[in-house]
Amino acid sequence: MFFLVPALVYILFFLNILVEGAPVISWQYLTAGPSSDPATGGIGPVIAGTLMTVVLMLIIVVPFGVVTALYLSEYSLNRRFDKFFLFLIHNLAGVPSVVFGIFGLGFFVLNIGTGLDELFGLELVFGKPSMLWASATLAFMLMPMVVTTAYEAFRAVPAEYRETAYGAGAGKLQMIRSVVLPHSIPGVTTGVILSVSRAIGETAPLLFLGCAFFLPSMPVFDLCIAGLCFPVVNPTEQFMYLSYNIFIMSTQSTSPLPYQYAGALVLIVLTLVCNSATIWLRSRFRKNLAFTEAE
Amino acid sequence: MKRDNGSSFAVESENSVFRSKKKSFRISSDLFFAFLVRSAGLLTFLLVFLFFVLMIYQGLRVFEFISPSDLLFSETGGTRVYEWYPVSQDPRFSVVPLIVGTLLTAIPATLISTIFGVGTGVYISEFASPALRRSLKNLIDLFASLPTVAVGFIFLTVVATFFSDLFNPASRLNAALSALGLSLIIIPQIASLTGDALRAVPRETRLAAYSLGAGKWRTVKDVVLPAAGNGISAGIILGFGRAIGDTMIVLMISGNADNLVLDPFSSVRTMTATIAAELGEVSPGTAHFHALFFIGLLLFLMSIILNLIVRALVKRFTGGKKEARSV
Repeated sequence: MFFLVPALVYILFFLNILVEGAPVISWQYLTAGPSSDPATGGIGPVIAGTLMTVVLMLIIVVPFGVVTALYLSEYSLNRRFDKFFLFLIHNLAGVPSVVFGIFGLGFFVLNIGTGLDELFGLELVFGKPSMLWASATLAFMLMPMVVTTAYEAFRAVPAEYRETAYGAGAGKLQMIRSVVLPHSIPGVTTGVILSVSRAIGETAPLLFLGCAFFLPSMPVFDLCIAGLCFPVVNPTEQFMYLSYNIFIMSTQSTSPLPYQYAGALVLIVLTLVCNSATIWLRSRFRKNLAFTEAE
Repeated sequence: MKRDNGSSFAVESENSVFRSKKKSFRISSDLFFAFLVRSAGLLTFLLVFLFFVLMIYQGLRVFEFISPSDLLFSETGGTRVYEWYPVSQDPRFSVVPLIVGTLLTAIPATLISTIFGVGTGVYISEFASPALRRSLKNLIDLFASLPTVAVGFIFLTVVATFFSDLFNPASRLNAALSALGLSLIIIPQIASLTGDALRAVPRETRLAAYSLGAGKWRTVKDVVLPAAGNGISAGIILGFGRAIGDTMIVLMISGNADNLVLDPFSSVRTMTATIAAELGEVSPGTAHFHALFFIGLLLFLMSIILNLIVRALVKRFTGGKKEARSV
């Protein structure tokens, strides 16, 4: 009974969103821009803004997270210091997301952003809430997760493998490249995809970091180098974000209910796809480890 | 994967023929990489450390603007009022109604989630067949990562009406409704951690109970559950932490009325929702801005205290054998 009641609630939850939202979803809805007539409008720029922000976040969090994990597992200087570092990271992982939003505004925007503006003599380019700082905040928020999953994946590589590589004459860098990294890629990827899913579903820290419900144009400009022009995301502008869009639609706007459901459906599908990928990867990773251990 | 290793070792053994030529290059690239990794690691450490320092420093700077007693209550005409009216003519910054509001949503949410979460965890780990267990566990992990804004949206459009027809609460959006919404994301978390804790109870413990003549249910109730008690408590406390820290659900469906109430069926405002609703409009450097930072500091300290309790519980549960895992 304790099991059936929640199960029923979740089934109703998903069915409700699916039944109400699915009829609206069409190629046009997913790609077109917002319009005054909802029947011809869509959430294309919203999805694009979400993906841009997530990609920018990945560009920040993946190198930093993986290298930090590599430092902790392979290049540590002092066990005591590392324990303290891991302790801080574990604590950071439990901090409510809205607190990271305060940190993003108070530190990234008002300290670093304003500082950069003063440094380059610019008029309010970095010192305002924008996609760059939203991505940086998300990256900082999800860094503990990427670090701990990567760290565990690195530590799971058997010591014999490392010693074999050293025995074959590999240096440390070569050992890491040919033994540690190939064996830990599924684990590291799990953490990264998990961070993507969390970033897509997250709303609270972005509320005051440059999200907008409606923007007339995408934060994109044409960068021209030697006559070749290609569109580049301008990360110092405001942006649209799917979860924020759903929040505003359901609390402050008058857009028809089916369109709100469709937005929620897209959001849930995106996060479910990411999470299913991590579950699949994790089970594969386990099998892989079991296989190598049995050998 | 195996073949990859094989080929790279083959390359390596070819290299070793020319080792005298390449060795110096390899050592310098090794050193360079070590330097790079260490400096990036230290940079991350500095940033994390800075986060802790900055949160505490900026949070405590509130006392430059507001006296500690004003953060608790303000006196008007000899009576103490506990009100959070930061933008009125005579601003009042009592955080008491916000803390009460947070507890009024988080505690019922944790109670509901404990009943259903532990129940689900026990069912999955003890009574479901292995194949069913694996797929249910995956499903639960999926539910735990449900976007909170989607939960808030469904509760706002569907459940709120249903709820007010059923209970006829003082206001349509209220603390009890938020507690239900929160439990939707906390139940899977508690269920998953309960399952893990129960699975970690050694087989010998169960077998000993069976050999004493205890049945399946008796074994679970009197032997396995108490043995996993610390692990399950850790899961419940983590759930409580998530209930306190969640923003979107309470922002959307708690009603956000900023007065001190103790009735769970009335509209309340939580700490997280206050930050989320007001930080966007406040100008930096004002008393209001720092008061919001102070609320952030309170949340931050709460999460650290809960995390420390969880670590201690997990350490006792695993007997100090394993490093406490972050969840």
